[in-house]
Amino acid sequence: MKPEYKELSCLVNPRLTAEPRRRTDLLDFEHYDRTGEELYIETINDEDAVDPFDEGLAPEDYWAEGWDFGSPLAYRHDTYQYDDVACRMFPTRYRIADFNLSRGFRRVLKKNADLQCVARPFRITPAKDALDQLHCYSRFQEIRAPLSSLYAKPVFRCAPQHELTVFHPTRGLIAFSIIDIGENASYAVRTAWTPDEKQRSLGTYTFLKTVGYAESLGFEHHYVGPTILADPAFSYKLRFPACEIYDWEANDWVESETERAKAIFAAPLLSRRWNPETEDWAE
Amino acid sequence: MTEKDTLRLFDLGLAREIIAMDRDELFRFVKSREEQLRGMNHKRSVFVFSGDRPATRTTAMVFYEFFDDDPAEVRQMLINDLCYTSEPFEINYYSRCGYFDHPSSVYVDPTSDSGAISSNDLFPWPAESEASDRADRFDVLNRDHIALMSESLKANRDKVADEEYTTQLLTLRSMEKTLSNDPNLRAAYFYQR
Repeated sequence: MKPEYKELSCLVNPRLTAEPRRRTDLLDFEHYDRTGEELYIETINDEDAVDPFDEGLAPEDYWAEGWDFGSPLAYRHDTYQYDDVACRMFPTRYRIADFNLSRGFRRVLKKNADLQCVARPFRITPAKDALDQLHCYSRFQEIRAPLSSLYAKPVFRCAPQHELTVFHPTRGLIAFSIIDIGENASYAVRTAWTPDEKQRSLGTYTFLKTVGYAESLGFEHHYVGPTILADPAFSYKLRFPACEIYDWEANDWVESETERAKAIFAAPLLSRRWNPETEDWAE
Repeated sequence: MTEKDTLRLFDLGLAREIIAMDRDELFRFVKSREEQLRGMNHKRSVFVFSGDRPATRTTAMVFYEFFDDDPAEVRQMLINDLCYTSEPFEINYYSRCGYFDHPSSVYVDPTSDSGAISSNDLFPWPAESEASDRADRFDVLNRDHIALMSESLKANRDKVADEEYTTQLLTLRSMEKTLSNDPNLRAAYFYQR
């Protein structure tokens, strides 16, 4: 019988999280893929959730160590179940100072010069909700929780949330991105665009505009959540310049095009298997 | 959906005048509004009560001392005191969506008389001035934006309680009418959590 909770021996050593904030009994989430192997996931689960500002930290201090904020948990994990198999995932960010656009990216901006963008505090609307659902279904073939259910209740947010919204001159809303705004970095939480304007490359366009917005705020980094190598829907993240991925072993960031990054990508997934005979974890 | 965003009528014409006036013009303006300013309470007035000034000091002393120290701050204080012509009105979810989902909510050229602009464009204060700290951040909306809110509210009539619906609609309609009658007025949209 698998235990409900088991003390976690972290495959990743957290450096930053204040010890009193960690509740060992809640740190261990049992996640299994179809081979019965446990996936690493570490969470901070506190009644008040995590308030980086309260701890004298900025949200980017957490993002820089692979943490993600979601209500009410802060969590980080190096694996993800894709197609029922455990896959490695890597938090990804970009150095804004080195984010130099290639000709192809400049062409995307030029092609969409007729669109109008606005960055402002994030507000849920029915049109964003509908677009988000359409996007999730067309891109990931799944239905996700609607924005209105995620943000309807007064939940803890670690950072102010802004939106970058894109309007078509006649169609209205066609893309948006929700961005957490830290003190020196931003984090794209969710992006959606209409699937029937493929020639516009709206995903790329929205991404470039989001980085531009972070640059206008004088930020050093822009985070985009994890890259999951096995899932082609995430591969676009590695196409952009000045991209860095998180090295879980070294707790450090690595330029995505270096040999070291390639070695990290190729490394096998660490996992543990529950041994029912010894009732313990087998490495 | 729990944000407490508010709308207030805002005298954009007057704000632009205050920004454009030189020192002497602004002083004459302050004298012309002296009674109104002095009639304000601590909570309402920034200009009159800023800096713990003794009551015995004249408006002229206060004005020149403040203006010579930080002219942008004086302008911003006067805007805060005199340009909001109504109390904040909390706008509900279904009303505000009419604005946010419409392309006209994209900020436009700040000198334009149509489309939304941001107060960030309206108040171009130098970074070293304390005016930046005193300046509210809001979207500047025109009559058409308020009409969009009314339409959105009406389209979602079945999702809003009767009393709330009536209050929202009457206030929005009244605001629309006021904005139609006075081209200097706008509605200030405040983002509040």
